[in-house]
Amino acid sequence: MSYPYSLIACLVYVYVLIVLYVLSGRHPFLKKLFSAEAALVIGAVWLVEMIVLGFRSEIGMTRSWHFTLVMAVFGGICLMRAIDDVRKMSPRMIPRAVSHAAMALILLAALFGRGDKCSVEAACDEGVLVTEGTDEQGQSVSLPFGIRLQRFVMEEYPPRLALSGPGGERIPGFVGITAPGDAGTIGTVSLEVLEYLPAAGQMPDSTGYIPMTHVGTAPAARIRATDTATGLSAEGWVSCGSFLFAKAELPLGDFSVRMPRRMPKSFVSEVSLISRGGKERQAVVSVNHPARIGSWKIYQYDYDQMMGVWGHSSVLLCVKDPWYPVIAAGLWMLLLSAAGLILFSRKK
Amino acid sequence: MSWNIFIYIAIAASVLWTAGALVSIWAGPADKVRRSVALSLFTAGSLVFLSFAIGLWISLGRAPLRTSGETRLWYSLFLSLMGLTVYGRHGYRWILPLSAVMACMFAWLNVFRPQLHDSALMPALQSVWFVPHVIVYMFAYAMMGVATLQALFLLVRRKPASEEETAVCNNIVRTGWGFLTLGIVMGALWAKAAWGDWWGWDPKETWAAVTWLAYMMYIHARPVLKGRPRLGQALLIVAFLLLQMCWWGVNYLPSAQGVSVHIY
Repeated sequence: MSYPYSLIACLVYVYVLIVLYVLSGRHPFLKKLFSAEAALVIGAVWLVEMIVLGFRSEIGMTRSWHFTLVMAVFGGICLMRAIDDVRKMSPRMIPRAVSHAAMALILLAALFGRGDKCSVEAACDEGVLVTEGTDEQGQSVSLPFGIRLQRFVMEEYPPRLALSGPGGERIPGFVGITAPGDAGTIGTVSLEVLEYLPAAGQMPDSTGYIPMTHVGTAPAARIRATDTATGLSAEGWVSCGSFLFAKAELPLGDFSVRMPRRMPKSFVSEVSLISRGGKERQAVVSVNHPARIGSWKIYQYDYDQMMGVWGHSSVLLCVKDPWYPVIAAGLWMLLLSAAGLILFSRKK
Repeated sequence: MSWNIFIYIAIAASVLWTAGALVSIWAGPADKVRRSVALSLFTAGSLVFLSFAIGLWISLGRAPLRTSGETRLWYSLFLSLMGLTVYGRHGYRWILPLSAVMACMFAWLNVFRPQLHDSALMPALQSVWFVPHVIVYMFAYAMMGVATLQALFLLVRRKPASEEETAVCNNIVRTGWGFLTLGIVMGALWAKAAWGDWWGWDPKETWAAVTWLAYMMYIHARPVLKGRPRLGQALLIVAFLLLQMCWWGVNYLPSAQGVSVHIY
């Protein structure tokens, strides 16, 4: 159900709840609808639903009629309780009233606003204008704006050395590599970096690494590994490899010293955003820092994992969520009411 | 300011926190002088730590929030500050010792495992919500742990719990639930900024909601539980078991493998 029907349904539901609350003044049995007992009963049902969901991890369950009904009833109880709290308002009840109102806002907006949220994945190559993407169902969707990826920049942390055991299991710990002379211990194995090449490759039929500057180079390190428990020692090259060069490991008895793929430090997409009217502006999209155009937000979602830092494409997630302000308001109200509960709750 | 002097900071803060914690155990509920001394010593410890964090911030030219070592600084600081807040508000004798233990644990982890200082923080964790989200949960779990220990003690003891004992337990649960709420809301705000969705029913999120709802129901069941303290104590233990499921049990759930972004 989408706008305007979602909004109409929500308003009708809220209106019915308000009418029931008002009628409860004249018909006390209606007060049971928003009593603590009612909340406990529906809460118990919802708890069981969530526990089942927790064990089965079937997201589809959250869109079932019973899950939806429980959320709707719970949200309704919160709304009526919030109205009741406001009527009986005293300073001590403020956190409670705010938390009930917040829960009502969050649950009802989440339920009725479900159909209005739109998520579109846009695969962008550098220099190419993109005006469509795919939605959650895999259908092609046109965007009301254009995105041109100017540049995708990925930074990685310095490489590290890791150790695998006899069964291939990872031994906890690592040794960071920034320069020759770096050393450390993982388990019983001591490691020393003899030579470090931040960008290297191998010539065909060679076991050694040499500095290279072209696309696809990977960090490589010549290391000495010594198992202090057995006295066994080995020396050789390790590399995390890339799409162009295979990775290299150094065997040491039952162990194997390797260089895992470097951990990403940041993903940044520098984009041009072109509105329907032709207005163009530059924006930067990174993880935790989406860009915005109109009522849409654009998130850094994925990248070319094979090419890594050498990639020239990015996957951006474009999200439109018209109910965002309502849920945001509810969450901030809940945050404040929780802080109020901690700071001002009744002392014994 | 650099990590080279951190050991001295850790020693000074630990001494002050421990001294404050010990005085708080010694201070009775009406002993304003000793409570003030406890608060002052503990605050001094937090100020020492804060001064190091600010100094490091200035030296680095950026907020020290990027590496595991840096985030552990904030764990120690905020755990101590939360302990101060709850002690100042409620006066529980165990809260400063508990906070001191937790804050010192992270400080000394940084001292004894310096190779983790530059441990990488993946892009998704580089958020202002990361540290507060984690530490309010730590605090919430600690408080629920204390409430559960109390419930177990009361359940096992032959003598029925007095109203005062039940009220103290309920106060701890209510405050702990406040921290649980802070944690779950911060998670939602962070998720929206990171992934465009408030809530994804990720297994960890689902069990966090289960935990939150279970304790919320306990708080709302007080009228029903009046006169039935043992039922309330049993419910608290059940709720704590659900919390364990959220904390670490979910990591072993077969259905959660490869599905949850919280399992790593």
